[in-house]
Amino acid sequence: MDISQDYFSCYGLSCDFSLDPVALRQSHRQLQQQHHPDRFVSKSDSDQRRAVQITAYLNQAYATLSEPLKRGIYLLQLQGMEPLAPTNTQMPMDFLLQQIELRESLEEISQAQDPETQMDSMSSRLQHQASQLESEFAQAYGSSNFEIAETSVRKLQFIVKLQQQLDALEGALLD
Amino acid sequence: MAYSEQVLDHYENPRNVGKMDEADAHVGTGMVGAPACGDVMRLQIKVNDDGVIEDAKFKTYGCGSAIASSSLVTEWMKGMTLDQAGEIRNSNISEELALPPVKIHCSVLAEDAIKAAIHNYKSKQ
Repeated sequence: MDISQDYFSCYGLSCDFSLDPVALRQSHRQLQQQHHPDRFVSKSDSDQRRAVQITAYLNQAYATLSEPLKRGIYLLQLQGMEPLAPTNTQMPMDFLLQQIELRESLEEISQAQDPETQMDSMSSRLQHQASQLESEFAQAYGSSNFEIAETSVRKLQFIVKLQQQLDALEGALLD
Repeated sequence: MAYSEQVLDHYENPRNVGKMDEADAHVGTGMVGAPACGDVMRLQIKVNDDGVIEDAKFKTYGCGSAIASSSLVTEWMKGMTLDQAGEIRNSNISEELALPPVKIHCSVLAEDAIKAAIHNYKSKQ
């Protein structure tokens, strides 16, 4: 198996945002078993090393492709882009305003009378936004509009981060 | 990772946190975001008729270094002319706060927020 090829090719998938998660998981398990280091204990040192390398590659590939955000970033990297470059701080103004509002309400949730209801409604709002951005990305990338795709994935990164903060707050409040 | 004393000081006692009226013709608002860490920064300046920054406020949702960077620049900018403020570089900020290399992007964010606020103010004149 060639570990210099892109992650999509190693699973026999086309370089596309939409993929079948069940097929990906099955294909990953199959390759994982086939190259599992345990199967090479009686083989040569170089065969053993190779099995370890392939396993690490496969784990990285699966972790990247199975998450929409990481998959989107990776697809753009395949086009030579770096969507999360720290030197790029320009984001659409309305999006940033909305982000500040969302973070303000996140801060206020812990003092609210019914934090659970508010957390639930914010969470569904974020999930809705995330799936919208994912379809925006899929469409833009599919038609080679890489700059639009980049903006979508950058926005998605903020949403995912906010969802993580919300999950952390939920964990802290429900303890 | 350990924060420097300067960062901790600004993080624990942030200066000039707040919000100004965006509609005010004397107020310039800069908003920037860093996708890599999901930080969002809003920086506002109030400019008098002589072109001097009278007041500055910020609100940052992000890590300690991002909060400290924006807190520091609001202190620096007060009393500066727009041109002077426009010359603040991220390297000045990261030096003052002794930011480690992985946190340099927080100072880049603050520099870009200053530029965005100045640009916004000028566009209103």
